[in-house]
Amino acid sequence: MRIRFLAVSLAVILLMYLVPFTLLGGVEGPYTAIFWMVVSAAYLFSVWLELRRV
Amino acid sequence: MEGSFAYLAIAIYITAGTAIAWFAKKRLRRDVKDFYTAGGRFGSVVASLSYAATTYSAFMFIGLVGLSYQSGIGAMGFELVYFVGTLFLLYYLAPRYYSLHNRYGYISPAEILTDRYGSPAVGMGVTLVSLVSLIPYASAQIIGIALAAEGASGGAIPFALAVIIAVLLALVWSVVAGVWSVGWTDVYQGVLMIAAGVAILAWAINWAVGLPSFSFLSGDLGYVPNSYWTPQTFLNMTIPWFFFAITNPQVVQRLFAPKSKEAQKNMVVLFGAYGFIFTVMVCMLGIILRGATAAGGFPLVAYRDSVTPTLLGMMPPWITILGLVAIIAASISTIDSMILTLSSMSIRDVFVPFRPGMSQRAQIAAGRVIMLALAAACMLFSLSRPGLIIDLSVLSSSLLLPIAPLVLGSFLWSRGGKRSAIFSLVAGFATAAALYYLKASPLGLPMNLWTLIVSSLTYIALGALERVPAGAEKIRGA
Repeated sequence: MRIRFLAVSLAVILLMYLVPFTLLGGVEGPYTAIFWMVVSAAYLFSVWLELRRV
Repeated sequence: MEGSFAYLAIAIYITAGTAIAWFAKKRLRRDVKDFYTAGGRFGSVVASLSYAATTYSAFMFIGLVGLSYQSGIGAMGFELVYFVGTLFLLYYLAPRYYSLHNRYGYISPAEILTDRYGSPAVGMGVTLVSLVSLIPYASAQIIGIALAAEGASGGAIPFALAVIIAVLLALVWSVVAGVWSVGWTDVYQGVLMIAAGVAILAWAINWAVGLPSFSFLSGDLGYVPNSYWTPQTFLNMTIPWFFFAITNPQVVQRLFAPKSKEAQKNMVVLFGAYGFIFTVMVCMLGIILRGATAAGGFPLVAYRDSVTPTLLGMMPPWITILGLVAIIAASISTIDSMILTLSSMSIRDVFVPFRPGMSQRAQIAAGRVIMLALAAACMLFSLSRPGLIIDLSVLSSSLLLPIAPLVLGSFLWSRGGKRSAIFSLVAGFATAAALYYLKASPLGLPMNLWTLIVSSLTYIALGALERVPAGAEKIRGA
């Protein structure tokens, strides 16, 4: 369980760095901000779920 | 805003906070563990708001608003990387810190490293690095208060007076009842901070959308990479921030405070909810103000730490007062925690190894004297007005970054002793200080990446050749 969550966490961290500077790089508008906000909020939710399980 | 209103608002804030600090004294048991860690007796709400108020400071209200204004949405990404990194580290390490405190009664975070690496020199080294790094960080908070007070009062509250008031207040609230007065005032201040943030943002949105030709995201502020946020800059600024939760002793010590494992889990989630809302709110404010500048409604502010003070000078008096008090609250709640934690480290990691028989009463008394000395050092540093708040904050975290391999290795690696710990600390600290001073990025890699690489490689290379000291298992097994 904790290993699976570790993989999810590392993927989230990697996405936080890579996506805005590659896929969304130079894309004008609120998309990059929305991406960062959605991923962060989703990660908080997943931490909450994991903490309920362990 | 009239200066007298500003003074009255600050007087009410100080009176209420001091009353709370004094009331908190009733919960204090007269022993060192309780004075510095609450003896593990904080409930979920106090623990989470205390963690949040300790973490979020003038850096947010002044520094991050200004950074968002100047550089756009990359500032939000920078702070949200911190947010995700902190949740990640807290999920895995907070329960271990809780268990160690509960089982072995650790008071200072560096005591854990002393036991893990089998030498008090490690705890002393970490304490020294923390002292050198956190005095500029605490001073950045004080400067934030002074700038806001100057801006909001139209100069009626002079910079130097605001610095003196801020330092005295942080000192009194930490000396009265240690972490009890700090924690309870953190709750009061944490609520003030979020309430003021909501009010200011609501007013700013309502005002800005009424401006003709207002645009939410203008020019290159709406995307990354842009002229400010190159991949290098982003990496450089986020690396020390990512490890903030394990390198900054004032937040690590908060992990000892919850009364149960359940309370600690709630603390992580409640802090996360608070942090997410606060981060988004603050960054949006900076971006909206930049849009207002483009629309001609807000002056163009060149010095980014002056963005929030300029806004405070324009808003209706009641929001200005609330904003000013919230900035003071954000700063004080961070400064008093730093003073308290640095005092605990000085006592437990420096004094006690030389005088193991020091009584509980003597440790608390000496701790209070150290708090006084730390407050004086912060005051002198602040009065010299050393630089931008964000830069000072990031520099502090850069200098603390070499602690990260030591902490992670404590829990995750079965090699390494005092030599690898001390040499990696020295090598990392020297790298950070030298590259910052020279403004150098060898091979095009950012300074903080170099600091992390040098300290980690030194730690791993020397640690692989070193036996684990006796007693280290209890840390790894926590």
